Amino acid sequence: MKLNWQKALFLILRLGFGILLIIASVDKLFHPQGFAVAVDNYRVVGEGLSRWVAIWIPYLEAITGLFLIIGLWLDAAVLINAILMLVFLALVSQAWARGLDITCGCFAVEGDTPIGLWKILENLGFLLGAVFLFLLSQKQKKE
Amino acid sequence: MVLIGAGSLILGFIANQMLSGGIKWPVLALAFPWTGSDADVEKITCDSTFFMLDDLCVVDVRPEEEYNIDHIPGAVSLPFLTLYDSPEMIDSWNRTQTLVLYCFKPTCKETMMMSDKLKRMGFKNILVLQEGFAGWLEREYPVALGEGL
Repeated sequence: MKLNWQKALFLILRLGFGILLIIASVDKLFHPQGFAVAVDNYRVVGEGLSRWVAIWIPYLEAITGLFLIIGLWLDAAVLINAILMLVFLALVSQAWARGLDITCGCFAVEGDTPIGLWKILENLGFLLGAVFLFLLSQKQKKE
Repeated sequence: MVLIGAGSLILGFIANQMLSGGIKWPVLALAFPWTGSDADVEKITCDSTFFMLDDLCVVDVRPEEEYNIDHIPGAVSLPFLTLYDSPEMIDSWNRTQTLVLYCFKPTCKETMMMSDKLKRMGFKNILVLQEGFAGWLEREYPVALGEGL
């Protein structure tokens, strides 16, 4: 019973994060220049590197999401998912701490949610879920 | 994991070169230090430009939003990104006229790369504004206000 519960939760989290990542990537895939501006707004990397981030991250999200859904290279996909959630939380938190009046750019290039406490809590929730998924995947490997 | 990361970057790079509205290589290259030689680029001072304004074709390579706020009187807006996306838009330009390119800062990679690109498109006389638009404003030369105001 315990094993089935864990397997079910693993599947739900895997599919959930897979769909989340793909949805998050769609608008950014088709509007890379706008996404580059959104990345630059975080004032972490310069304008030049923001463009490289903008052409990379949407594809990383889409491919990771796809692999989570179809179950290919799961170890890597689960780990990348956790790293992405950690990085997003760090970026949003530092933007809020610095008082940057910007939108998240998480799910849409324009008109996305502004940075604030709720966005931080949301990202924290995603990170906890991603870490839990990672721990479950490690447990699945041992069995 | 490295394979997924590297593969995503390569896929993203290729897709952006092929899609309209994608971020093209010349713009991505701005992230790297300028490898061309400054000696290959002829410069002109703000003072000379001001006195010869009627004889020059001044080109503003900044994004259109910045041009729309203010610019050198008579300057044409030709953002760096626009030239690479739509080079055909300057097909009718006179290749023998003297062009003066400027961005905001005294030296910027956009004007250097633009100068390269225009030379390869057949333009003979290209100068870069030595002090940039910042220098023009410092000297309190007249500016034209754009549609942004």
